[in-house]
Amino acid sequence: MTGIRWGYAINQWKPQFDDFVRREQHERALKTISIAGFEGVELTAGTGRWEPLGNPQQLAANFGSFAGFREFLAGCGVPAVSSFHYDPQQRSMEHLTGPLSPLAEADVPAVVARAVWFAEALTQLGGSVLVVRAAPSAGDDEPLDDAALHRLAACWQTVGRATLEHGVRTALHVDFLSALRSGDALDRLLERTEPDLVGLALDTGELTVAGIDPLSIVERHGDRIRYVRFKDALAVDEAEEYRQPHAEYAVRQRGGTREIPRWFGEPGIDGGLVDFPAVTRALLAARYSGWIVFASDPSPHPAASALLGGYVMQRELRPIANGR
Amino acid sequence: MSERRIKWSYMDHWRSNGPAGPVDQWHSHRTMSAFLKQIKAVGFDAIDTFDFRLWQMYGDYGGPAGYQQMVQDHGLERIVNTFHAADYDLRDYAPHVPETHERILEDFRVTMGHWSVIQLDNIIVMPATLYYDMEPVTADKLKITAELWNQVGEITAGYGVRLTCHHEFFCGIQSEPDIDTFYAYTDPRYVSLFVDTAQHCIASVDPVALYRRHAHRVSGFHFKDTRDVATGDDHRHRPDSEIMAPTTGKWFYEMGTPHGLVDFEAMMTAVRDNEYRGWISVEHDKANKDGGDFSEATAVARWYAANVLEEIYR
Amino acid sequence: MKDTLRWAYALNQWNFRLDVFVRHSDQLRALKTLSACGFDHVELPAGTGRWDNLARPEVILLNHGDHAGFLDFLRRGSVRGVSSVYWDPGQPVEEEGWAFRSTANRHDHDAIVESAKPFVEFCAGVGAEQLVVRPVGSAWMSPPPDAHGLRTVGELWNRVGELAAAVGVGLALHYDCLGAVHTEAELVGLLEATDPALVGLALDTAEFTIGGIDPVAFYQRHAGRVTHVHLKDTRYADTGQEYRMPGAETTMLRGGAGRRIERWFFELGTEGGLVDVKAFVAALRSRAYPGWVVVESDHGGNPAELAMLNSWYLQYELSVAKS
Repeated sequence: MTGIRWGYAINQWKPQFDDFVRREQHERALKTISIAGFEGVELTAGTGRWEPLGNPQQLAANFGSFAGFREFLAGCGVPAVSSFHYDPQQRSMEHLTGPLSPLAEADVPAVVARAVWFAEALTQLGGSVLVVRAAPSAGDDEPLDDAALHRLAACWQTVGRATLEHGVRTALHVDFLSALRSGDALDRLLERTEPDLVGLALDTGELTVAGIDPLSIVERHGDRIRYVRFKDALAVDEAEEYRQPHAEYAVRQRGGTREIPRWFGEPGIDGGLVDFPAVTRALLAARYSGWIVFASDPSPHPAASALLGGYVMQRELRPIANGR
Repeated sequence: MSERRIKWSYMDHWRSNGPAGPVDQWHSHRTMSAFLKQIKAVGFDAIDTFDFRLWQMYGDYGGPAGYQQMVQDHGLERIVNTFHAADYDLRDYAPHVPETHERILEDFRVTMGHWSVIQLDNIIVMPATLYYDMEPVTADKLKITAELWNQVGEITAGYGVRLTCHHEFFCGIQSEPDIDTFYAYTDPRYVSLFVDTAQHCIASVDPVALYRRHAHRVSGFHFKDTRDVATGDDHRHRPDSEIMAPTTGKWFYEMGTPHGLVDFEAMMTAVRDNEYRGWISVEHDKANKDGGDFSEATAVARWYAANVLEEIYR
Repeated sequence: MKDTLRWAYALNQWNFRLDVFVRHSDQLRALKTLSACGFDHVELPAGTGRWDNLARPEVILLNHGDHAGFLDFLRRGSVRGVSSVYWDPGQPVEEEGWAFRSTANRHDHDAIVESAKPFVEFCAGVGAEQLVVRPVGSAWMSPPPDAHGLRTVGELWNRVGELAAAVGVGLALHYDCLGAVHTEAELVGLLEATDPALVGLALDTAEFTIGGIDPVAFYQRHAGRVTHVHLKDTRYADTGQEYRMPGAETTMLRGGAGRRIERWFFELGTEGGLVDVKAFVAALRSRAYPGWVVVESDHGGNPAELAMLNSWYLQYELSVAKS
């Protein structure tokens, strides 16, 4: 048997800021996740009163306490929160702060405080990983030179140390717009950080769109992987449009010059590019033990995406993980 | 053909089905064009926007003037009003908290500067924080709030734009007595009333009677409907009333909806009786909730305006 | 719309599945949507069973009492009348015991003429000008028609045309891209096998384009026979033999196989549209086309959105005044 546990990311149910605010909607989504065979839910950090699952303050305001939220989850058949996905560049209405950057030394204490805020919640919710956006988008800043990588490493070391005190691992998430996508920036960042303190998040979808074979990452950094996201990819950013400014809008949301209608989908989606059985086997060979969280990102049919992902997990991938 | 006394503007709320799920009209030029075409096709004359769209206007259209050009290229007149959707917070942005006033005033100076390249009629605000952050609502707090908006209104008047207040059912100033008191404290030169038919109905305030009482202060309307009145603690539900209140997950509907509570015919009669000339803004935010659809809701609302309301006054 | 051409809108895009367009309140919303868009006449699609209460004459009458009652219902949505009704006799229906019939089979002709009567009577009752029909079954189900075959089909439609003419209703044969009458020569052959006084042609711009026939050129050559128009656009043309794929209704038109194109028909002004809509409408005007122009966008996306985009196109690209 394996220590791998299967979770599902909740973000696909909230396409617009005023969606997915009411309790009964959460209940339906969580029950869907549960019956699809998943044993944990990943929450996405958000801010304000229309993000009731977005951060510890909102969870407490809506459920009374973390225990209250955990009870609600259990009532839906979901035993735990696997992880929180946190991007420091998102502003916080709770803290009245604007975007924070891991590249800005002055912002590090606030980033650490925010990370601990989430980590404390995670420990009470059965979770074990804080997934962080490791670097800003390539198009919005200078390329990462040595000094920048040094600052990044320092930031995440400090964060990793702080979250570990709460039994929560920090895992660096590299998305296809990230400045860490270019050259050997990721390798160099990992070199400068201690394996015990700073882990790597393997996101099959983001890597594939970035033109990086997830298997190559498992091969090179298998021992650093502390979190896995299984997301399928429907196109590759071969033209490297990620280098444009405001790529979040022009490329991720609008699909770049080719107007890619969807970059991502649930594992096994028609036209998907990721070889999930191969990645699963590679992770086993690297002795990965931890959460594998399924995601589809925005989907025209969130519930259907969850069920289709569940099918792939139950029929193909979990048997592999369990040694069959 | 006599000149029309009433023209109709459509307020910025929209969702359409994109390949990855619902998107708003600002998603791309294509979705914006489809939106403007549909608004124009059913006979709206102009649009209103949220003012936070400024950033998307700069990013995608070169700024408010460039965006307004696109609006005009689709046959619509212009942007009539903007809605200033602030993140109220007791710590740094709350009309009843004097310590936050300078920040609010500076916010409006900057905002009006951005919009000055085009001519707006109104800048619309929710005049108070969420109800639960303002209560108990006292005469003092109403006075402080009124004084703030007098100052803001003076700033906006300098740009030829009216500062006008729109009373959400969940904001601090929502009961009839509080509304009356508030307007008594404000300067009619600088602070106007913007009547949202549904918000008042939900708060158990008759929008027709309110309008008749304050008609000389009114600079515009949101015509939208509701099927529910707020009961119990709906108006002060923590952390949110608008989407999370127990009574319903869908407060707002397009005008003329079955079982709607707003008496639009009486409203239009009052508009006629007061010889109001100008814009009426049509709104039905979150129309896509619970199986609704923005395209259809908008068409049906405009049908209602054309076939029922314009029979009363046009 | 206020124009020398008469504009109507087809309701079929709302009735895309048997259970989605049944409640009167939903239907009124669609009618109001069309009215807000400037359309005041509708074309009804035929159907079957109790859920097709805007489509099957007996069911419509059951819902609204009589023809006047039905017209009152339409008027509640500010729609003033019915331009036409579309009917495919080859579609098995509950009301005919699910019998399968083919216009190419002489033995079926009596039954088909009989089954046309409810539609002819309904058209007359509501003042609809045209009964628009699918003249033959799908090409994938039968060999291409020869001259004899076309004559046989022509005879059937002459009989129905006579029935309709007797009550002041026109009959228009609607060419579609999957029909056994596929090429221009076959279509002309079919028209020649019918009596021009009794049978006209319903020219559907998108169906023609997909089938490889230039709608503008065809109209110029045969304007006298065109008594009805469906105006819609497409982004694709049949590569040559796709219409012969088994089950082409699904395999070709719904993307089940082949190029997997899930949507063939689009609103006017769509990006990459193949129909020269402006030229076609100009041709209609130049020949003083007297019939209805029915705007349509079946098998599309959001019905209200499509109607609104079509309305914008009429107003802004074709300069048709709304009122």
